[in-house]
Amino acid sequence: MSFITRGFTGRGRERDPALPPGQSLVEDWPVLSAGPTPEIDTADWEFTVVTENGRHSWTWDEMQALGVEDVTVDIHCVTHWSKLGMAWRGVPLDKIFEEVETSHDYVMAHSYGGYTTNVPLDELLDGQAWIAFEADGEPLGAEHGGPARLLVPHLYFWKSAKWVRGLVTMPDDDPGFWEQNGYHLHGDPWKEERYW
Amino acid sequence: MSPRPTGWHAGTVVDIRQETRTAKRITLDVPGWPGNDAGSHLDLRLTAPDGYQASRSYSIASSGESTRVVLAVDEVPDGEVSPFLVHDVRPGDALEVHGPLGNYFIWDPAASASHVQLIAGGSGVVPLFAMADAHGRGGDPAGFRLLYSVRTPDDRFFAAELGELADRDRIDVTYRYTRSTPDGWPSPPGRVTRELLAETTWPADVAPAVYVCGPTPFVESVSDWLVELGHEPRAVRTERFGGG
Amino acid sequence: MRVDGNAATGSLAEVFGRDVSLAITTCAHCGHEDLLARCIAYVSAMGTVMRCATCHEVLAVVVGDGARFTLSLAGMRSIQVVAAEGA
Repeated sequence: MSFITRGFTGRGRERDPALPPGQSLVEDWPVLSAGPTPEIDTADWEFTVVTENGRHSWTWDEMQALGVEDVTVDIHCVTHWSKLGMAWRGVPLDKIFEEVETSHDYVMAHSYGGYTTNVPLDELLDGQAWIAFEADGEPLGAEHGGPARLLVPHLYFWKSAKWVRGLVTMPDDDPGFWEQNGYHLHGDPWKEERYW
Repeated sequence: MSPRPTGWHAGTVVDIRQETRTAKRITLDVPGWPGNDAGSHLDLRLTAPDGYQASRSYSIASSGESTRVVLAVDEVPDGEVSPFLVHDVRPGDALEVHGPLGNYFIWDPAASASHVQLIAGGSGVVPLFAMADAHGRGGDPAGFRLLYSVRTPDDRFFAAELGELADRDRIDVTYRYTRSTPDGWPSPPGRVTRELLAETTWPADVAPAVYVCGPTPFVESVSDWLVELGHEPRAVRTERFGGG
Repeated sequence: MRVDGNAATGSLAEVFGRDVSLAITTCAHCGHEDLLARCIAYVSAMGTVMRCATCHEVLAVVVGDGARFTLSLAGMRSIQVVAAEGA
């Protein structure tokens, strides 16, 4: 049983052809959380990449020294909201993988707090993903994943892991947290890959 | 008491009235509703023409065997569901509800011998009002107290009903105004404190059943203080709410 | 947003067909035993994540996509409910 509620359209759900199917524009930035918000000092922050060949790690300053980029991208949350033209600042994953060798095709992103999400490695490279630490000119607040989150804007935003602490490469596309619980392994908003 | 079946129902809005400056009292008639205990909630789901859905949980302000279900919905600024319910819903509209829900945060007059302490923050008073109202309609001997933290006198939910229950000596109500008080109020505006809890609520040694409902930070500080004041953690039932 | 396990009652009822707020759960991580209604729940439009009130590890996750509900109980060692009437 389900019926249309008279007069209900959803908040600000104007359709915009720039948006993927089923998405609507928001001006604010909703916060979704699946657990407590970790508070991490950049002095203690460390980013690691673990491959079949070993472990690499970067402190906050070492990460910044890899080369920071400013990018303007759209983000699309699987809960039907999108934000267009957000200014982000971060280090492209290409810089990180210049220092890393792997034959694996997938990675699992791990976060402070225990969250995980899986992404194909080739979708993190070629200017498609960043370790981001500023949005709209402000340092990323803890509620938005600061001090640093993964930014993979061409996939639904749950793939842009908040409080990211590292990547572990994998030979197979194992599911992360939401992916184990019904969300799509890949998550392309233009194909509406919401659930599997 | 046998559990009440939970399920989806189509309710019809039969009455809407202004509850506070920012809240509406919405009465639904829900054919097939199995009645509900005082303190339980329901999930309310809205569906847009394109299939988009949004749902939220609302505490029920009424209890008993009736198919009339009373909600009191406070508008959350920038919310999605509550502004629709407060501004757009009209009598005769159909709303989809799932319930009754929750066998934990309820008060059953038949099963309860102890005194009852209710502690509300803002619209968190709704399920607690249902308990006070059930107590007011019944003959149970429990001693009821309510400590109600609310922004201003105009923001009080069920002010007339609570006043009537207090007049009949069915409940003691203490208001704590956080922004502005009525003229001549003995204390300036302020938050609920541990000291105020100690002064105005049932002490731990009478072993009351305690129900705390309000925004998450309110509930967390109040329940921590209650335990510090000697209440058994298991005697303190909490219901935190977010928004939307 | 962080609320009480009680708030997960509706989505769990979609899976179990009844109100399981008084079910007794045992955390697979720390062994803490409690009523489901007393766990910590994070409710968002993505789904409901239930966490142990003691160790904060994930007990269970429910995701509804409009067509079906997916419940993961990976963080619960056990869940105990009273028999339905007539059982």
